[in-house]
Amino acid sequence: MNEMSKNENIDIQIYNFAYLDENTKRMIRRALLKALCIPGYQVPFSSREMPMPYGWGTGGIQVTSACLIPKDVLKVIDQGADDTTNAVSIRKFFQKTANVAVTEKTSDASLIQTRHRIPETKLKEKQILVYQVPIPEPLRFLEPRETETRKMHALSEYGLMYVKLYEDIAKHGHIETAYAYPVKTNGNYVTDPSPIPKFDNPKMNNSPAIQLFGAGREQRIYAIPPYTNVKSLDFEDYPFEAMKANFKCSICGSSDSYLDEIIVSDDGKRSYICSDTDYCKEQTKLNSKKEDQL
Amino acid sequence: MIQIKNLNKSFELYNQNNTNINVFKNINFKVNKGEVVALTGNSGTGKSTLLKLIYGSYIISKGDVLISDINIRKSTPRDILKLRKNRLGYVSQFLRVVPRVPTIEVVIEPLLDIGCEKNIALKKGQEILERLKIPKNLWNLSPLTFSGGEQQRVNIARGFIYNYPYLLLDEPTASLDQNNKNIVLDLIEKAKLNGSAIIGIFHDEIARNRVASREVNLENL
Amino acid sequence: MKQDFLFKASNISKYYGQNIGCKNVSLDINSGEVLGIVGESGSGKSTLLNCIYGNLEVDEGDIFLNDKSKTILNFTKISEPKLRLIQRSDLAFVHQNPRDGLRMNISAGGNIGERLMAIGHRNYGEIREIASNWLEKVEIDVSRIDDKPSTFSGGMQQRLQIARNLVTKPRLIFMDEPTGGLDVSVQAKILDLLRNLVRELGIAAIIITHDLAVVRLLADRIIVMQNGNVVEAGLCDQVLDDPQHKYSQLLVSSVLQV
Repeated sequence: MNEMSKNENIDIQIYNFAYLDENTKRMIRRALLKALCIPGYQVPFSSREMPMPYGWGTGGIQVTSACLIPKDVLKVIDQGADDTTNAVSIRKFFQKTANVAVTEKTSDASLIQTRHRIPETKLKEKQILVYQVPIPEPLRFLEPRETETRKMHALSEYGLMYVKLYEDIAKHGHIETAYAYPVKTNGNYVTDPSPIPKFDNPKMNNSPAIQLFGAGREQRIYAIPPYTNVKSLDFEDYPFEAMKANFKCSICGSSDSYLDEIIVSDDGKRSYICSDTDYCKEQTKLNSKKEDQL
Repeated sequence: MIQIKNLNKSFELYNQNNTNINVFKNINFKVNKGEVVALTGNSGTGKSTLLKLIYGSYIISKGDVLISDINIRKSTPRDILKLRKNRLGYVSQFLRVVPRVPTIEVVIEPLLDIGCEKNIALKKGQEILERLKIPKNLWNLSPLTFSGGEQQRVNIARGFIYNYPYLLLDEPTASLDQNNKNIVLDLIEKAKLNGSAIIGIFHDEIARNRVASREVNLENL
Repeated sequence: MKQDFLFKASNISKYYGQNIGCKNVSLDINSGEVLGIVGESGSGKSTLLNCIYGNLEVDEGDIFLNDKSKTILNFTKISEPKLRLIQRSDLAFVHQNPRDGLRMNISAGGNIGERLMAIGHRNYGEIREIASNWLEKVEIDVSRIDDKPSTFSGGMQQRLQIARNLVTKPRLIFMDEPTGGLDVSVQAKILDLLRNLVRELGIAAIIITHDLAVVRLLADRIIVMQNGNVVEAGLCDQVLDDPQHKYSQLLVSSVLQV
């Protein structure tokens, strides 16, 4: 009898809904509310020890955990793909601890956690996009002191940010920053969009969805409420360009989506496919429908 | 007109046993427009000191110095700076300049200070340097490496480039040969004719006799 | 209060616990003037400079700036954002060590352009042109606009620091031993540059130095500090040629003649 119950004990692990305890969720929600009221402002929060190390999306996971409700439909992507190790692990984590429905279809999801990309499919109202953020401070690499960067945000002293762009143009003839391209949120705070390619920046502007950002190691949360103005920094004579490789996806033929470059053979032959796996699937479906009709 | 009234000067040296050195007492005299007054008296009687008191480089112990209607003892540093810029010139025995600055720029500085346009100032600078026979190839060099006589002439050029109504000269012809002496004396006479009131120290008797309207001996007052 | 001054500090006192940083110091300056503050180490001159620039909070006293619209601002009473804005645009601070006043990992052009970008300039071409003009003014070869200051000599770094500070056409410049860390041969060039800039731009300058030869060549008026107090003030040549206070006399007589 005793042996059986011992085994039972090993098998049964009871978590609170979505892993975090309710008080922690309250704390995070307070931070989120504050962040939504001050778009782009980094709100400190008490980041918890999570069952994975820093650098594996703990910030995003804590935000998702605080937001999830039982009837949510969750999608998790990593560099646009639903099937990479991280995306799979995080999705399984929430299935186990929250028992929520999961999907790979962007249009079916109510909450999407993402690492380093924004889905190609346009988001709708009431969808929540949770970004995983490594370094929340856009000025960090120019000014290492936290005391200084806080003052710079408080006093809107963003000269240094433009100096970085100036340096790029002086060195390379154009603004070299290809990802984590800084933006001005709501005409006020300069924000780091997380390491998304600059191609994705325009999607942040005036989006119907709620955009939440979590940085676990740095212990910061920020947010962009729906229909907020988000403008990428640039110079008058060197305006921002959302660039991508000039190729078509070799699977679905799309020329509008952000592409991953893949080396397909030993002699270095390359192929380009959509980084957003769901979008690629949808496009392929549409293509075969069109063919059927013909 | 320059008026010296009951002028006394003494130095209190606090770090040397509080020694008190009295230079002179009760100096009185006037200098009118168009006059050159030569200060005479042996070494140590305070001739250079007197010039410095008038210029404001030394503090007046007792008495007054009046330049036109301005009382030097009662003037603020700003008042004196203004006076020096526009009305009171001083040619000292020593050339004190920022190193490595070309001669021509040293010479035109007083004109630039009163707002004269650089091109015009440069022209005037060239004229006066030519007049004082400073060779053209030296104009772009710093005067600090020049001979004593050349340095003195650069000093003179700087002092005479602008027509100061009041001029103080400390041994203007000291290191010069006869030819150059005459050129400088010509300049002094020209200033005299222009109506400047001038006080000068000339050890050279001949020079003194040529330009001085009268003499004031500090030992006999 | 008379409105014809540019900047005025009244009865400034700063204490470090029981120790006096500076006590009861007053000074004022107008456009086109150079004021020298001299004294030995520990005399309080750096403390004073930092107080009047607004970097250190004063314990007593007021600091007034006559701003461009002819209003008088009191540094001890305005908000920090306003003070920082003034510091960035209307004032300038040249540090003794150029490394403290430059961003060493940013190009020369970026260093000069930073203040412009901070006040809202958004045209790359224009910023670069203004930076080039300033490099010429401080006699740095324009071809070095994209080089980092770490590749410059000490004198060039100091000149770059001056250019970086003057690009927003400040009306008052504070300098802490501007020729302090430089070779003697380079000092002369910087001194001459400063004098010309003061004359051409009509700016006012407050300069701290312990080097009496430098102050004689640069300043119109000086104040002498000892142990946090002003012991003598007046015309530069008068204080140096005929010092009235015991300490001033000591200071002047201690200078080595070459």
